Amino acid sequence: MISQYNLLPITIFLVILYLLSYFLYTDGTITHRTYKLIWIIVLVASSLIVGIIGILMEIFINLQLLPIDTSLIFWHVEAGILATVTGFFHIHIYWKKFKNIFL
Amino acid sequence: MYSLCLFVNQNLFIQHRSIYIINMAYDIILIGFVFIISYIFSYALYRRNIIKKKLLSKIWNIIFLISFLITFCMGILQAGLIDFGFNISIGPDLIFWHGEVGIIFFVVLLFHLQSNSTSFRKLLSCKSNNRN
Repeated sequence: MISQYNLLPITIFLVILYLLSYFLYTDGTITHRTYKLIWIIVLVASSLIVGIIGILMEIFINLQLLPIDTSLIFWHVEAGILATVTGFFHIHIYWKKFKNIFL
Repeated sequence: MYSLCLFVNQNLFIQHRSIYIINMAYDIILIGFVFIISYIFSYALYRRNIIKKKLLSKIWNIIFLISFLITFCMGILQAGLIDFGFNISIGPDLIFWHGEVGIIFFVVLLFHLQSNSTSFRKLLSCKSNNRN
């Protein structure tokens, strides 16, 4: 198996962290505000990183500034994995509001 | 990390840790312009009380969710194929549409941040109560 983007380890690590933070919140160790704030900051930061790097690479492609360094793609993918997983956590956190957007 | 040439097709190949993309152009300005104008138009409708705030956020949340699911599923699929060593050539169409929907996602992300900035600031401030 060629391990390049660490898709599975990052996903498992984030799920464990999320479950831990959810446990700490339900246990009363951390407040709902702290629990929400942690995951929103991670989501916003990772989404902005993935978006800005993605747009930058598209500009490079449009201007034919080739080749694109793979380290740029590497960090785009890593931030993308983070944004995807935390995006689903965000849906879970705002589940009540999320259900209403389809009603 | 990469072999001499990981895969070659009509539009894209990877060689010596560098990505070469040929004959591909993304409509960043066009897509960005269309979505910014649409958002301003829908926001103006809300400000003139033609549509409610709930409907405005509902429309843009649905666009945001759809663009998130499409672009990130395409991205995770591509990363997964490379990560798990599936020797399947990723078509340039998949990369192209990942990029195009990604532009929509990024623009709508900025709208989402703008429309939820008040609640985000409230969350950041220490005064907000714990049940918020």
